[in-house]
Amino acid sequence: MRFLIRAAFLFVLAVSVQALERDALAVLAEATLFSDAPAYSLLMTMSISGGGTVKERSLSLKSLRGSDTEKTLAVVTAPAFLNKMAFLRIRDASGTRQWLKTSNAVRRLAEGNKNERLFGSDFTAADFLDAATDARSAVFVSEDDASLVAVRAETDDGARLVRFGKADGLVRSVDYFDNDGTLLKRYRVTELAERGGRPYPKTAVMEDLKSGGSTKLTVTGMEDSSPIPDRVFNPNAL
Amino acid sequence: MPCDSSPLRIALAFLIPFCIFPRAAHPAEGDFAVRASGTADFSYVRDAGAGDDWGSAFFAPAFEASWHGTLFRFSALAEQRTRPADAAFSVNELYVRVDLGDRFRIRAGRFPADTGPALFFHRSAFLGASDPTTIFESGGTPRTKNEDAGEFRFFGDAWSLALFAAPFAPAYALPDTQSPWFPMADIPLSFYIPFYDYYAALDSVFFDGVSGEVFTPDPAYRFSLTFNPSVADVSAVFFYGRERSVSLFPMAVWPSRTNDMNSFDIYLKPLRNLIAAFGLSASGSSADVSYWLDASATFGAATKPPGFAFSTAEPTEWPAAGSYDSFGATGGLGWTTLIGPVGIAATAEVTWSLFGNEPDDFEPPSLDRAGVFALRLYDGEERISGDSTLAVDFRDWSAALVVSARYRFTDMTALSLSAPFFFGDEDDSLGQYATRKTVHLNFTYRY
Repeated sequence: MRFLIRAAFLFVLAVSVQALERDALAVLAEATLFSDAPAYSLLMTMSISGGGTVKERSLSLKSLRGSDTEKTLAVVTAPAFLNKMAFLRIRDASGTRQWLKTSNAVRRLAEGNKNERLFGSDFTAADFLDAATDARSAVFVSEDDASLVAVRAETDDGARLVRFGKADGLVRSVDYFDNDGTLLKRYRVTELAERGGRPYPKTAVMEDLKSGGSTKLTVTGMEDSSPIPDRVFNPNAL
Repeated sequence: MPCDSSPLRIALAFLIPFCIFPRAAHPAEGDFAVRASGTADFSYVRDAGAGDDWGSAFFAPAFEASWHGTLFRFSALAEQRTRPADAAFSVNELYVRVDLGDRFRIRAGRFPADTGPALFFHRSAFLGASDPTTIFESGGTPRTKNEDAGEFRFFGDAWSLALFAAPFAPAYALPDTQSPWFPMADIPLSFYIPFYDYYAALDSVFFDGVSGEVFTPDPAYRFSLTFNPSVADVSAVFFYGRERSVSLFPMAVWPSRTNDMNSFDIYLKPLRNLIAAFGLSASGSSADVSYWLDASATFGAATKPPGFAFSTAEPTEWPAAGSYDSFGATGGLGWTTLIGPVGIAATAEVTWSLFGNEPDDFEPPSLDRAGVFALRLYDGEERISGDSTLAVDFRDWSAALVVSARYRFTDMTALSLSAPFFFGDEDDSLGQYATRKTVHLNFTYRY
């Protein structure tokens, strides 16, 4: 009898942990780095520091979110000699497809590619638009700030600790660890702004702790619900 | 359209847009915006083989104006060389592109055509002639000629359709006869005259009919359908028109201009084949590896006659040629990774051609079975990088190796040092340049 009770307890515990993991993954999937608006356009600058120099980039970012589709295009608009560079990502039921346009050609990037520094910044194709969409499992962890949720996600390349708003789902910080638990990169929103009742990161910093470099993002303009033609998100239009 | 130009004109072409539009600020979408950008490239070349030095300055200014879905773009190429001492100016791009509604785009003017996924050996592009010898000087990808054309595109959700029509014969991408990259190994230095039983010596080499074909009606059409499913990007292409690559018909002629019976000239008649062709390409990536395949089947290409025709007068009639069919495929793999602070990018691309209906004395096009293998090492910030590119002709096993190192001072300025080395016999496609021992010092400024 005691054995049965113990087995039932362990079963309930396992199911509860699984449910919590599913909850944490589902909640994490809703977290966003810029906005959860169905369609938005924003202008931003990247200030990339490293090796004793600072590089500046201006970007235009457009995003369209449907029920099971998310399309995002980031285009370099300055300096002028880089203005053909672009990063396009389409996520739908069939998976994630992404392309990088350089001055020479359009290349397809594998999902989760972490070797491609986007536009020379400390962001990669894997962390520019999402906190941890490649997470295999996730659990809630304790968080001192009651307005925030903290989730520890496990990916193939190591863990990530993501903190985001309980009400708005906007990511405030991400810590990127390798499989040995060493902290590799750190993303922090340093200033929040609001538009139409929705918060967005006015400034944020991505630090690469290995190289010592960092990239400061500053959002200089944002528009909600502007009509964005589908053509914009076609890789053949890059 | 190439034309001679003074250094002053070249300098103005570079400076005017730079001064008027020094830096475009970043406009909101839909606002009227203008941008000026460009590249200035200064090279110093030490030719240890010839004991000679020369320099060149290359400017590529560009101007762009956009408003809502309309884009106007102009760019030019201007070059000044000390050996051969000349200056050249050409309009590289001049086009208007208009986006119509959600799904349509049209473009007209001079602009770069799609070259497909291959990096060095394009198969299904059919447009945009390229001069592969440009990689020996820059170590990069071959410089490609833009097309005077009109283009219509329709964009679906995960596919697109493009119709491309080029009404005129395009400009040739041929190395000048004075260029060190001109394939002199294909030209005999002496010619046996059977009737008089003596050898005449080569005096000069001329292109025949090169400059007269710009804006000559000679339409070419390309229809392409591209799908972007989850696995790879796949394109099917149909092309009808003249090939952009050129076969050269050589004809030896006693020079009437000197009446010197002991010497002869070589006239080279560039010929483009009128073909119907199908192409298929696919490209994708998985983890750190990218891959591409670019294949084509061509029907009705004309062959050039073997050896050299001979005439006693400047040629007006050229020998008739047979025709052949061909199938060619280019496959490539790219691998990029970071090991500690060092980035590694490795690329391998191989092309192979098969022919059908070819005559017995058929001479295949140059580099029809060849490979390029490239390795790049760089620091995480990409300030310092080292490149080595090996090209091998599998027909004669001649090879070219370009090694280069680059230091980037800022985002806008970089200094590079490169040297090409050639291996093989003097009549091999790449071995003919083996006597060249050059070192290139190059400073690049972008704005």
